[in-house]
Amino acid sequence: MKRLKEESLKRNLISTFIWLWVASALAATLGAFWLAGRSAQISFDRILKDDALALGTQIHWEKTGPVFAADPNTADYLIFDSLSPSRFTVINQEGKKLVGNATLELPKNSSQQKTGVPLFFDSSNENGNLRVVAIRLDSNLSDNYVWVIVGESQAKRDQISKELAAAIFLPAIGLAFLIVPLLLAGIRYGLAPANAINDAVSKRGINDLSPIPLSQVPDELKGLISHINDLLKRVEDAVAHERRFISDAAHQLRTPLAGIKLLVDDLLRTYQESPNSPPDSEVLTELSSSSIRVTQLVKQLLTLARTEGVNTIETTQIEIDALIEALQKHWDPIFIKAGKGLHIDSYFSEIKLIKIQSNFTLLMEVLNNLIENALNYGGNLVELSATIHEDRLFFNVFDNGEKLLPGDVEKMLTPFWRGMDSSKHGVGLGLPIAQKTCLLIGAKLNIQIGPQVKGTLITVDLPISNT
Amino acid sequence: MRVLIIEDDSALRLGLKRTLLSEGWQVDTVENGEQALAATATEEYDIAVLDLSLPKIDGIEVLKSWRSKGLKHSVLILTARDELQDRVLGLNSGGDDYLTKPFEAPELIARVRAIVRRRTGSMSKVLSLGEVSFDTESRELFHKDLRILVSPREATLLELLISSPGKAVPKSRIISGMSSWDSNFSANAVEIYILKLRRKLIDTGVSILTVRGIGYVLEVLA
Repeated sequence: MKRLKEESLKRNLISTFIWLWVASALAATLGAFWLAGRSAQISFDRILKDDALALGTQIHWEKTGPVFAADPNTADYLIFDSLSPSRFTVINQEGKKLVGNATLELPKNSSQQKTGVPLFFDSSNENGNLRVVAIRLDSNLSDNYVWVIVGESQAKRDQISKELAAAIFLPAIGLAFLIVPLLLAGIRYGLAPANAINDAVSKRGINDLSPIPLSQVPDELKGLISHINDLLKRVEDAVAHERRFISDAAHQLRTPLAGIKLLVDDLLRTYQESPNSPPDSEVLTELSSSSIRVTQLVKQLLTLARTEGVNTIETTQIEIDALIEALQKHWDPIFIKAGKGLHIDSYFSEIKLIKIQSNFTLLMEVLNNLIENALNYGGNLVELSATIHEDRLFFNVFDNGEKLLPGDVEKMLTPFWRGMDSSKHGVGLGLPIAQKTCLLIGAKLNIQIGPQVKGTLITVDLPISNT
Repeated sequence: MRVLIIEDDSALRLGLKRTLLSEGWQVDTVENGEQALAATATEEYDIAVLDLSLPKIDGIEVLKSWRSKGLKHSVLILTARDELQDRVLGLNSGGDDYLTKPFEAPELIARVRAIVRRRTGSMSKVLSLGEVSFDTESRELFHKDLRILVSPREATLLELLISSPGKAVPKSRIISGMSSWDSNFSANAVEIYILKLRRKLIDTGVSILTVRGIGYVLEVLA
């Protein structure tokens, strides 16, 4: 199995910088070596040409033809080189050697060479590998001309190349021993703030959700750390919200359980004192209603828990008619028993064939919670109506209960809030459940209280799938 | 002893009331902070059993209001919130003790007794005067080792008197301590119970004396 290489900023920087440095150092030294070598070659060639021209000054043009005026020793002095002996030949246009200490041949393309322009070429003969220059010199008196050919050993130039290579490459290699540690130190220094942040974050406890201080964070990491701080804040808020919810849920469960426990203990005690006496009806009634409250609370807590973490739901086309019929069947007897009225708007009969794309069970959960909320906390009348606007259907649940304060809207969506009179039925979870369920089915929950609306109006906003 | 229960859950309220009534204490109940403040404005209580999460006025606010008005009755805080900061807040606001729901009835009773003992300065559950002793837990009266039968109301009256030996207990205090909203005591009823208790204390070496214009005192006969 191929093992994935772990990413390391330091390793990446070191390898990148080292390779870049090696490549650029190599290119620079090779370039320097080539340029220095070329410059040396040009200089040597120029000297070689000067030697040939110096010999050329000794050519005198007589009527009989060219004559080399200097003696051979003078000629040797004219082209003297301390590193290696120079070779020369002066030949006339017939190729006859006038003077010279060696036999140097002209190249094949020499016939096209212009007068006075040096022709450089490499040659190999019994004197070894030579660098040669040939210059044609013409007579002013006739059509005669001579070739002055001067050559010098390539060994001299090879020696210079070696010295240049040593002069360029050795310092570069030496520089590497200085540059690499400096590079490593520079990378370590550059990464120090990031390492400090890394250490500080690593040392934090798993429950430490406080923001990471931005004062020591380098500019390049500020965006990342700011984003992490935002996430930490959100996690902290979520944890606080979860803790508050659990605390509230515990309170809501513990209180009726404490009551049930005391009442059951009381029944046992009175039974032990007088086994033949009937149990106190007040105690039994309270036990019954408290058990119902606990059951309702547990049921709603489970409903709320089920809405957490759900991302996708199945939807079907729901007919308004079927929805209203199910609601009426469920709620009519409950309202009659409570002595309150549930009024269903006649407009529903006009739009009964409208279909909405949603989840029947969850939509019923929303509407049931809204109606139950209105029944528990509202007045003596609850109205269920609908309106259509463009491609949206609005379910309206209105109750004529006490007027709430504007700040109460937010509280109404807080779990376990039961208004200022907690003696009323309900556990304070209906609206939070309705809100979360609305999110699941793509609906919006809107609460209106205050001057415009007497009582409370809660609207569920749904998209219509097909009319 | 007269107890005020402030609890919004009706089942727990009834359970608390019946548990404390079974101890022979006079018990009144209210269901929110507003009613609690109204009750303590007109009645005198030995101890209040106070839930913190109350509608209308929160339990902590009720507690602070009592203490700011100089009301010194003991307070046992009841709450489902058992986090440290809640307990500290409750105790710092003037509570005497803290009980987390749900709880056992014997623990509730024991804590109420302990708070009242601390408040009255008595470290023993048995209050004695001369050769007479009264067990505040079992609510039994003894002369030496001999048990004298007393009714719950006689026990309450005796507890009031023996808690302040040699000191006159005002008649109004006795009426308040033996009353609840369910059974209102009159001055005549107090005199009847004083008479009943005097008869039971004959030959015990202690007697209930009348302090004219004030009330009654339990003293050792010379």
